[in-house]
Amino acid sequence: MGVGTVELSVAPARARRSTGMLIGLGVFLLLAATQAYSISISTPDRDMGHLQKIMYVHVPAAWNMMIAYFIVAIASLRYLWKGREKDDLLAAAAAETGALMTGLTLALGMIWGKPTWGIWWTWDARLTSTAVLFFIYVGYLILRAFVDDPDRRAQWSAAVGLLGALNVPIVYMSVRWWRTLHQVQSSPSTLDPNYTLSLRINAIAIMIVVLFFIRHRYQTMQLEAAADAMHERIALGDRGGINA
Amino acid sequence: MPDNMPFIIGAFALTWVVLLGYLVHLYRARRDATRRLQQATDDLSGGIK
Amino acid sequence: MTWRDEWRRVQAIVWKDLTTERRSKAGINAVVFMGVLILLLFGFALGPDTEALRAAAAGALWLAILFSGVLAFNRSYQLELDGGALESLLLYPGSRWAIYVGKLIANLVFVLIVEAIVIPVALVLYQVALPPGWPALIGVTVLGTVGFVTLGTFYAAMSSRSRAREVLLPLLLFPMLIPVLLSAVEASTSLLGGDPMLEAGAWVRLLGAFDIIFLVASLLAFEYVIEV
Repeated sequence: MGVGTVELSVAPARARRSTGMLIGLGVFLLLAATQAYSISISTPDRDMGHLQKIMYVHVPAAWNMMIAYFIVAIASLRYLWKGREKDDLLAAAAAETGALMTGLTLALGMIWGKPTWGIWWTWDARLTSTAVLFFIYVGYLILRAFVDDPDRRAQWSAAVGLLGALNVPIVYMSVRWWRTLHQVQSSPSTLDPNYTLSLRINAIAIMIVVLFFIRHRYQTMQLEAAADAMHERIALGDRGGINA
Repeated sequence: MPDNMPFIIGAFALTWVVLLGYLVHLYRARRDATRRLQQATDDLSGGIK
Repeated sequence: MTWRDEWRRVQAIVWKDLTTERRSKAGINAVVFMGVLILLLFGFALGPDTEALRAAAAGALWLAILFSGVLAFNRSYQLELDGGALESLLLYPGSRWAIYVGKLIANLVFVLIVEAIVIPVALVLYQVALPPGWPALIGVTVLGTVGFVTLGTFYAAMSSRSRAREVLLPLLLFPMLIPVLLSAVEASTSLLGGDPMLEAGAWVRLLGAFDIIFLVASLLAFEYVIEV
C-alpha cells in the first residue's frame, strides 16, 4: 500500500498532538518576536516613512511563495519520474501553502502600493506574474478537488503542476517585454541596505512557518491516504480480523 | 505625509489573520483525518477491540 | 512501431475527428456564432467610440477566439468518451503522442475555419482597415492559434474526463495562454497600425518560441495524462 505504519493507540497520539501544538506555538512566537524586533530597530525611510515596514511581511511572503513553488515543481517531477505517492502528497501540501503565500503576497503588495503610488494595482511584471502564479496554484488545487481517483489525481496534478511552473518565468519575461515596449515606468526599487538584515530574519521566520505548514499538511494527507486505502479495503469486502 | 498607519497595521493584521487562520484549518484537517483513520481501523478490525 | 505507422495513426485520428465534426455541422456553426456574439458583446462593452474600438480590436478579437475556441476542445475528446473508445484507442500499440498530435491537428483545422469567418467580421465591426502587409497578420494568427490549440488539446485531455469540465478547462488553460495571448495581440496590433516601430517582428519570434516550448512540454506530458 505504500502508506507505512501508522500508530493508532491513543496515548502516543495525544502526546504527539501536544508536541505538534507546542511546535506550532513556538514557530509563531518566533515570527512575532522577529517582527517586533525588526519594527523596533527600523527607522522611517526617507521616501516612504513607516510604509517600509510592510516590506517585512510582503517580501518574505513573496520569497516563500517561490520556495513553495519549487517544492511543487520538484515533487511533481519526482512523482512523474518515480510514481511514489509521497511525492504527490508533498506537492499538494506545498501547493496549498503556496497558494496562501501567493494570495498574501498579492494582498500585501496592493496594500503597500495604494499609499505609495496611489493605486491598488499596476501591471508590472512582478505583480502580474504573482497573479498568474496564484491562478496556477488555485487551478492545481481545484483540479485535485475534482478528481477522486488517487492515481489519476496524482498524475494529472503532477503534469499540471509542472507545466504551470514552466509558465511562470515565461509570463514574467513576456510582461517585462510588454512593459518596456510601452515605456511604462518600472516599479521603483525600494530596498535601503539598512533594512536587509530585518528582511532576512523575517524571511527566515516566515520560512520556518511555511515549512511547518507544509510538513503538517503533508502528514495529514498521509493519514487521509491511509484512511482512504482502508475504506477501499472495507468497500471491497475485507472485514479484517485475525487473518487480515 | 498622509497617515499611512491604517495600511501598515492592516498589512500586519492581514498577515496574522491569514497565517493563524490557516493554522486552524491545518489542525481541523488533522483532527478529521485522525478521526477518519480511527474509524476505518475500527471497522476493519471487525469490532474486535 | 515505425514513424510511418505513427504518422498513419495521426492521419487516421485527424480524419476521424474532422469527419465526425463535419457530419455534425452544428459544431462549427455554434462555435462561429459564439465567436461573433462575443465580438458583438465586446463592441457594446467598449464602444461606440470608433477610436476606442479600433485600438482594442486585436485584443477583443483574440479573446473572442479564445472564449469560443475552448468550446471545441472538450468536444474533441467527447467523441471517444461517449463510446468508450478511448480505452480501445489506448489498447492499440503505439505512442500516445500520435493521439495528441492527431487531435491537435484536427482542433487546429477546426479553429482556423472558425477564425476564417470570425476575423473578417471583427474587421468590419471594429472598422479596422487592412494595412499593407496584411499577409503577415495571417502568419500571426496561425502562430497564435497553434499555441492556443496546443495547450487546449492538452488540458482538455483531463478536463473532458472530470467533473465540472466547463469551468475546469478555462481555469487551467487561460493562465497558460497569457504569453501567447500577449504576443499575438501585440503583434496583431502593431501590424494593424502599420507597425511604425517595427516591433511586430520581436513579438512574432517570441510567439514562435512559446509555441515550440508549449508543444514540446505538452507532448512530453501527454502520455502521463492520457494513460490514467
